[in-house]
Amino acid sequence: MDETIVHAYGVIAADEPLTQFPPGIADTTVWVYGAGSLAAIVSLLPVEGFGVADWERNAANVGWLERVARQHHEVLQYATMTAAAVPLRLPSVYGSLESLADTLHAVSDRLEGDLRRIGGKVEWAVKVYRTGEGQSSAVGHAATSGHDYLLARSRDLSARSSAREQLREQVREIHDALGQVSAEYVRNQPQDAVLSGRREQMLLNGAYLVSRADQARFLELAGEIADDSSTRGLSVEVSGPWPAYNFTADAEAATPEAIT
Amino acid sequence: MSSDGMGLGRNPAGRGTPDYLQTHPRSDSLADVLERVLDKGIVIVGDIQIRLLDIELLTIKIRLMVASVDKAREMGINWWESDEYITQLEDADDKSELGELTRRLEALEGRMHESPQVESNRADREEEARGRS
Repeated sequence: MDETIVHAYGVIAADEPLTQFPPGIADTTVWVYGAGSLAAIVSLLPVEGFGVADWERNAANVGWLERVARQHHEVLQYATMTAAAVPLRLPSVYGSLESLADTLHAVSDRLEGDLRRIGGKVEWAVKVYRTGEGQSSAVGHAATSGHDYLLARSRDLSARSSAREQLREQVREIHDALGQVSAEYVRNQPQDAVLSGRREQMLLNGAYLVSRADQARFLELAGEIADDSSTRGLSVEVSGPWPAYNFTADAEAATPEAIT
Repeated sequence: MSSDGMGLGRNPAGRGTPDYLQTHPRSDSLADVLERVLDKGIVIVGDIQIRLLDIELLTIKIRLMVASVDKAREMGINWWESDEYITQLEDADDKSELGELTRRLEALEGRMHESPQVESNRADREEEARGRS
């Protein structure tokens, strides 16, 4: 191969017996590169096409980005099925395997800490959407005078605000209930309606680090919550298991409140 | 092992998987994947190739881009255009996430001009990042 650059997908303990990965970015061969007690899941990308300039140029190219992001994710997803893998954020490129090894060595304490944190656990995602009545307003229908209008408007506003408060509370309860079955849990910024591709407003975008042994319990609870919520105008979606993207030292939880 | 559970649709036939449960990973939305691989996980700054600041800058630009209506339209997503309620929601979201991203982007770009020697600050920045979380 011509000149190459190292791409690292994630970090695992050196003794994890992982082989036969799915294809990496640009359909490259993925393998485990050991560096002391740690190992990186890596593949070699052609410099031409994946150099710094390419990343910058393609940041605005959704097609390119999607392929790269999905292949990065697939590799981590595969590793997560049997091992604890600390996901690395895209782009994660190094000039050579030696420099990657040096880098891992330099932050090995932190990586080992992350590995201990996520060992034996996987991430589940739960989203809650509002499917119930939208914001229909009574204003304007019955008002025959300015005074009536203002009165109706003020009632409408206070009804809306208490409904919002209730909704907020329900979502918080769901999140906390799921959190009780999790080792850790975080609430992320709800996805924009355009981004999520859903008409309904997303109220909760939660991530839960669940012990493999507790997964059945977690899913059972999520199922109960989903059934229960459908009668309350909420729709619950569960996805996973994900690599533990949300539970490493660098992952930041965004603002908690979705309902404005 | 690797193929089991892959490529399932939202409600794979014959498995009795309930509607709300989405198994992995082909059906993951692009938003879900991008949100994770670009914004979560850890950053270990390597030798030279892309500096920490650049990574963050790139990430934010990508997020802005993905969240932008024009790009969504390019991707063939445009159902909201006739939906007033959603348009209002979007306006509200603009103020929160996009506003926040734009501020971070501006701040980062400002910092980039101030300190061309970013690499020498790497250790500090890592400390800072750790302190934040």
